[in-house]
Formats: sequence, C-alpha cells, structure tokens
Amino acid sequence: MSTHVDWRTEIDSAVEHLPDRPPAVYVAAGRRSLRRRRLVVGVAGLTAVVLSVSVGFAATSGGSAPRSDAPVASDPAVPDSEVTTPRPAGEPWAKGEAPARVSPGTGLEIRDGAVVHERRDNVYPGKDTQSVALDLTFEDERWWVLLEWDEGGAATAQSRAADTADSFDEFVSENIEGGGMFSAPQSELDEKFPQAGLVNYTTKGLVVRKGAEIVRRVDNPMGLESPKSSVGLVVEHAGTTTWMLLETGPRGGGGSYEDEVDSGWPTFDLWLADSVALQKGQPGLRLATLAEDGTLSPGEDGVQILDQLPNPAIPEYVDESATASGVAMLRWRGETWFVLAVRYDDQDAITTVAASKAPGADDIESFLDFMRDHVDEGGMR
Amino acid sequence: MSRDTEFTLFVASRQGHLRRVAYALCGDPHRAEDLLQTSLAKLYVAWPRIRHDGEEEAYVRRIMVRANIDESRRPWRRERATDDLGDRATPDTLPMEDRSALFEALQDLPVQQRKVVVLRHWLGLSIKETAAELGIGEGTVKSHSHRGLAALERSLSTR
Repeated sequence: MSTHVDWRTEIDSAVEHLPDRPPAVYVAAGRRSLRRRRLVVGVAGLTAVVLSVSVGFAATSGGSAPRSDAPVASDPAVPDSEVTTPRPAGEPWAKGEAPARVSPGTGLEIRDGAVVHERRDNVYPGKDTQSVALDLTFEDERWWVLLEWDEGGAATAQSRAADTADSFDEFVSENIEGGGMFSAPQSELDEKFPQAGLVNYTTKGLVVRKGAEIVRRVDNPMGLESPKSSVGLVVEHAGTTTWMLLETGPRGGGGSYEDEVDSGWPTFDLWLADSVALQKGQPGLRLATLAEDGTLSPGEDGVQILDQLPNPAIPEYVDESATASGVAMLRWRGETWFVLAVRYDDQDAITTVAASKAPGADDIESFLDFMRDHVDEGGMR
Repeated sequence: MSRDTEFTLFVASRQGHLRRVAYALCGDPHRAEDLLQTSLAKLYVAWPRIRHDGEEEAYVRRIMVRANIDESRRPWRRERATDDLGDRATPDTLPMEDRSALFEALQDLPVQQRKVVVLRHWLGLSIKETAAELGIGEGTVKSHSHRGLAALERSLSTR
C-alpha cells in the first residue's frame, strides 16, 4: 500500500493551519532572550560562584523538586556530580531520548548510568510548576535537559551539549526566558502590548502597560495621512529606556524599537530621523560616503575625518560578497563618531556610532573590537 | 535592513509553516505555540550568524525537533489554565472528532518515529539529512520510517 500513498500530501492535509500571531510578539521574545544572554555573559564570573552554592543546596536539602532518591557518588572528572541508582522499571527509554524525563506518578527520572554534572532546581521561581535543569552525560554523550511539570503534565527542552547553545548557562537562560514552557504570563503581556511588551498602538489610540512611562512623544514623524498615523516614543520601564517608531492603520501596524543603550545614535532625535528614513527607504543621515577603493569622505557639512581604514578585516560584517568597505573615525558637531560602510550590490550599508555610545572605543581598532563584540546582537543601529 | 526588520519579514512569511511543524511534532496547539516562540527567540539571538548562512528555517526546525515538548504521555496531557487569557489568538485544542485519523495516528507514534515521519515524509528531507537533524543513525531513520508509515497506513485504511 505504501507505494500508492503520497505521504507528503496526506500529512500536509492532516496538519491544521493555526492562526498567525503578530511578528512583534516574537521580536519581543527574541529581544528578551538577547538581553538575558548579555546578562549571562556579563556576570559569568559571578554565576560560577552562585552555581556552586545552588548545587550544594540541592545536595543537602533535596531542593524543591522531586528528586531521584539515589545515593550520591563521585564522577572523577567533576567534583559536584551525582550518579543515579537503578530506578523502578517504567516506560522504556527510547533511543535518542534525553537521559532525564518526568512521568506521571513517578516524577523525575534520571536514566540508570547517567552522570549528573550539574543540577539546578526550581528554575522558574514563583511559578506553580516544578522544574529542574540538568547537565548530564549518558553513554559518553553530554546532554542539557530542562524539565518543567505539574500535576497535569510535563514539558521538556533537551539538547545535546553545544548543539543549540555555547554553554549550559546559556542553554538554561535561553530556555527559562519567557517564563517557562507552560503558558507564561509574559506571552499574554506580549499579546496586549505587542510593541516590545510596552505599548499597543492602534487606530483607537496608544495604550501603555502599567509601570511604563512615555517620557517623550513625537506625533506622526512619518507624515502619514489619515486614517494611517505614526508616533515616535521614548518609553521608560524597569530602568530601561526604549526608543520606538510605530505605525498604525486600518490594516494593522508595526514599527521598530530599540533600547537606547543598544543604539549607536546619541540622541532620540537622530535615531528617530534615521528610523523614519529607513522605513521610507531613504538613506538617512550619512556622515561619510564610500568610494570604490574603500576610502571614506565627509558626507555632511562640517564633518572632519580624523582617521580611516579601507577594507577593514571584520568578516562579521564584511563578507566576500561586499564590493567595497571602509571604517572611519570622524568629528561632527563637537562629537566624535565612527562610521562603518559596506557596499553590497551597489547599496551601501552604513553603521554610524557615536563614540559616546561605544565604551572603550577611542580609535579605529578598538571600535572594530567593539563591533565584533556586538555582532551577536546584530551590531549597532 | 536591521535585525528586527529582517527577522519580522522572516517570521511573517514562515511562521505559519513552522507552527504547523511544531503542531505536528507535539500535537497540541498551545504547546506548538510555546515551542515555536522558544525556537524563534533562539533564532533572534543567533540571527546575524544564521542569516549570513541562509539557514534560518532549518535552524528553527532543528531546535524544534531537538527541544521537543514532551509527547509520550498523552493521557497526562496538560490543560492550559483558562483564566485571564485575553484575546490570545491560538485556539483551544480541537475536538478529537475534528482531527483527522491520520493526525491522530501521527500523534500516537513514538516520538522518534513521529519526528522521522515529519522530517522525512512531510518535509522531504533525505535519510541522511533526517539522521543528521535528529542525531541518530541512518539505519535508525529507515527503521523508524518503516514502522511509522506502517502505522499510518493502518490509520488510512480505517478511514
């Protein structure tokens, strides 16, 4: 029979189409994840200290989650590791299945023979679920597993080590962001305030989430005609300042936003002008222009080029398809700036960063280092 | 284009397909949504590198099949709390009678069989690609594929 079945068509017909959600919801979740990652990187040294404490707590108190009642033995390679004892016979372990799981009535199961290098209990403090993150090895394969469960069921995130994250810290932080694998209040907030989880801008008006404050508002910077409209906002919430350019109309809306600290522009006005130009497909403010040989020249009156480097070795931004590139340090309106220009398909991608927004960058080489450090955050805008 | 703009365009064009893949893998629209959001958040973080390689969709799919929502205990399926859900777009779980026999049969497959069937026979990956995606041997892919399709055939024969 199998030779007569078009499985692709049959399965395609069987899987329902579910409703789309606003892409802004996923942008917001991604940005939170990015912030979390930065935090992890920034406090890596501190994290190591905290972890050793938490492992000790888990070993002495049992933590908040159900645990294997196994005795603890030592992994010669990892002082804080645990070795599980055989567990009651249960569901067979599938090949390729992570060596830890949760089953109804049984609770947490760690596969016989698995070596636990690190365990973090209750990774969603404050939630009414139980959870644990495990770094463990089974049959010479290293796994990172995060389990969340309650009386109704369980969810698992699992990964062979380093497949989807660079470290166990990163695996845990990326999987706990957003509040967990069960429905998270954060998602509801994103639904209500789809722009950065802060505001909802529709033709009916602007609604701001509780605790957020609009400290500046520029009406219709895009110059749209009714019933469409646009707004530029500076929003402060939980110690973070966010710059926003939003549009709305009868068919929906959208926009762009960026935390002030992540922008290369020193002021909201310059960021807004650049964002408006970007939305309109215009080049925006260009302090320097790029020649074919990688030389940069002043692009605005009053710009003074202080130093420059054609064809910089920065493959994170300039790949082999670029036809020209250059970086310059310059002076304009009493401030020092850096410009990285890359030409692809006859279009120039210009990154403009005020020196005041690039800590540690006081010459071209240190600026390139700064940009390399920010490549995973998408560079600066 | 900025990361947000590129990412938004990608999500707008591919979220429907990726959500269906997640739904096929875990059989529950809420879990599918959670799985998709988690996977897309990872993509956002890695966007400069992944975008450069042109592997956006494969990256999300890989995360979804490797960080799959627990599936094998269907009788113990968790119900989402219904209070204060606002205007969330994802619908409630479809009534069983409205779900096709094939979809049900797909959900009844053991997890690894189901993943193989989805990747190999719906998404059209080769045996080698499916093995690499799931981190298992090619022989295992063939075995899962054979058994999985046999189970699905039985479901079709009862329609």
